[in-house]
Amino acid sequence: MVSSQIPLTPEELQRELQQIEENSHTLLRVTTSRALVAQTPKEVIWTLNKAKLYRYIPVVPVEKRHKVPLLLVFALMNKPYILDLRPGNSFIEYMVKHGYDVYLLDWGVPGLEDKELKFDDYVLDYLTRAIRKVKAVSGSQEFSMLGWCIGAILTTIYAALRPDDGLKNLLLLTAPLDFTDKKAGGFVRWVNDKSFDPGKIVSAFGNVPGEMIDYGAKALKPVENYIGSYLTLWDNLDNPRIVESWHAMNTWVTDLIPMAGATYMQLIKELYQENRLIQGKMVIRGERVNLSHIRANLLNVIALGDHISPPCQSESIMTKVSSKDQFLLKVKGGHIGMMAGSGALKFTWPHIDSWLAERSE
Amino acid sequence: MNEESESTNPLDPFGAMNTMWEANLKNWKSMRDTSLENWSKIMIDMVNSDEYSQASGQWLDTYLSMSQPMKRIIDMTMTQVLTALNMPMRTDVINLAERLTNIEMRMDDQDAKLDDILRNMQTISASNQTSDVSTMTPAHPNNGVHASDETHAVKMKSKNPGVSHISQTDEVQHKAKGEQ
Repeated sequence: MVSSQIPLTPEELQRELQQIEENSHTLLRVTTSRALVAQTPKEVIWTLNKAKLYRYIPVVPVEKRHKVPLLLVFALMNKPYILDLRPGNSFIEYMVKHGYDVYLLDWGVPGLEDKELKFDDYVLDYLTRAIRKVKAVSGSQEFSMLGWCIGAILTTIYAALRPDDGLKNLLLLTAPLDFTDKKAGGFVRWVNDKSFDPGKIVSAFGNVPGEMIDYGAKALKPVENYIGSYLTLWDNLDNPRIVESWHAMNTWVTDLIPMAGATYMQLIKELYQENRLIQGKMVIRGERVNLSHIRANLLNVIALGDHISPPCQSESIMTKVSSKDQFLLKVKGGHIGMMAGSGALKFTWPHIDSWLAERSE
Repeated sequence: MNEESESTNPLDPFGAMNTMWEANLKNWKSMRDTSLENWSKIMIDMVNSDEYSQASGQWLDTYLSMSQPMKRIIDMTMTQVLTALNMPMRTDVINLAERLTNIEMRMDDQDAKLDDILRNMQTISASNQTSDVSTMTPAHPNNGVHASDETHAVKMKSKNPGVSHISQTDEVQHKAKGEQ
């Protein structure tokens, strides 16, 4: 932003002032407006309550397309368009171009009437029905499923409860599943403190406000999130590529949604505090979630710099499942940057594609 | 630095000023980044400490404990006002929304069952047509019956807008592909 040359002539000074004016406009625009996101063409093929299932319009001829459709399941407390951030930086666009029949389950924004929704409902009422629709539309009895963050918890539970439902490939991204280490990461520490009572939050708000979840995520790296991010923008205001990328990411980061109260309770109590899932003690509508029932091919992608779901929370599932074909992929980067950062296109996406392609025929 | 001093013309004071400005700017940026990095490490250590967890937990607990009585009073007052005005309360709307979701789920199940029935019927009719065509092959060498039937099916489906239109059309396309 600051010029590296001192303006000496009136022309230089005028140019400098013009540049400052342009940069100020850019700064105002990207910090106060929404970027154009989620532009890959799609159609809604199913809805239930707030949830929507999208099918992305294939661009590859049917004979060259992979036979097994891919269902993407994102977390509950953020919008899923991080998977389709903007043209050229969209995992969905990349996969569609590589011949996949891609579906995305958008959980929607829960209202107060949804405060009683639990993992049980999301998995057995919503996910199961969405999968039924994917099968009907694609005409394939087999399918691949990718779960990211809390979405990975949901897909893991589903894979364990319904191992014979046609799930061929299970892809987990930064999956917070094992909370044995109570000192790994800020979240685990905070929610395991004696004074932290999730019940009080839920009874006060019904659903946990998006702002509260956002504060929690940002507070894990306060300087980077509250200052560093804006300094990066300031330093690169004359670089349209970085500015537009920042704008799109900022749009996603500030697009907050609440989390259903009962799900939050379950997440904190049963997973973060009691670590039931990895111990095989979690019960979903009377059915025990036994991870050894998972037989689908498993690709587990973990981010080495993940401060939200540290690698130790994601790795141990490899020893718990019965999948004969399993692969642990370690990627540089953080919780989101791994899939939406500049390195994703060069490393993460091609790895996911090459692993999945040979298992989607 | 050597390159800079070599390229600096001592007779050009403005050039020298620019070089100095540039160097100072670079230094300032690197100092800023270093201090931010250090500050960041300190803050990350701080938020990952037991003391921070305890303090934030207690702060949240206090905030929630203090705001609850006020919220309860507001809720009670609103309930009384809305009842007096004979207007629905938030709980009424929530109950209605829950009922709608249940209806939606049941409709979704019916929709899936209908899809199954349609698919089975299409399979049966397709297999019947195949057997018909195989007996009529001399009269219809180009299998025109199949093509026109499929076109008709797609046209009929496209009259029904919405979700099932998309899926059904796709099914027909998949079916057509399978038959090819």
